[in-house]
Amino acid sequence: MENLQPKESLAIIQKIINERKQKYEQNGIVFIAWGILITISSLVNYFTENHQVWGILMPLGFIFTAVYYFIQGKNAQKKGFSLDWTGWIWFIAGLCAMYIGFVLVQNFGEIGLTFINILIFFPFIFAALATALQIKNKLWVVTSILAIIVIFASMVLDFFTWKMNILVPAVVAVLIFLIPGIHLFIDYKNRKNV
Amino acid sequence: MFKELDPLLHSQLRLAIMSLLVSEETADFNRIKAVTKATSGNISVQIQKLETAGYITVNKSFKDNYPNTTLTLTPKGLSAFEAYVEALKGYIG
Repeated sequence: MENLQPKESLAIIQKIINERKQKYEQNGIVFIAWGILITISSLVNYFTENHQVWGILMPLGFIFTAVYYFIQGKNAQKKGFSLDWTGWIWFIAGLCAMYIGFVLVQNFGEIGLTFINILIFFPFIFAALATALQIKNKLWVVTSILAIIVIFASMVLDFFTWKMNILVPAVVAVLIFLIPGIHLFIDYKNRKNV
Repeated sequence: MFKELDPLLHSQLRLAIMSLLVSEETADFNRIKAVTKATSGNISVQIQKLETAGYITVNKSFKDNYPNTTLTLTPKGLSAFEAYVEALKGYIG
């Protein structure tokens, strides 16, 4: 191992402190919000056969997320650390989902629903897995892997009934957003109550 | 003017325990023992001091029928550790 100067050693220690601080600030609220929004959209779409709900609730989610992270970013700067690379992965996954959701769905209609599910949710599952590994959250790693299985199993569902695929986003959202979000929120509350 | 170093953290073993927890958030007694190479008695005493200060929380349970003590870093402990590192930076210049 190379010999470090004291200043370099302290810089590494500061980086580790910042990572820990960032994890301690993670309260899961955005993930809970997305879990609820996607699950509601999916269920409403399934029972009413009206997909307009996606066009209303998803932009609402994007606005909430943008405002939330803008405020979080400001607070993080005040506390002396910056949001890390995982934020960018989520941002790119969100852009991909918007493009696929608003552009491809219009062109492919209902025929390509299975592939649209995969295209929209795979970047989110990847982002969830990357974040889970970064913050060493075992539950989130497991739910992300389960989500990968669900999303690919949905291709099999296509053989039985096309309509079942409308519920796939709800299952994936519960796995990659809602369960880990609630887990992070409980951890956050426990830390605050110490 | 040099800042005063937190006397609670300015001990080799307590600092080692805190450093491990900053890095890993949670660690059990055996892990601390393996990393620090200190005696169980000494570690227990230092853990008690850190817990009293609110720098860590201690959770005692059983794992495979053996007692298992798990330590978790608190936000207060993290802030104290950060302040300690900040103070150290002042000494280096």
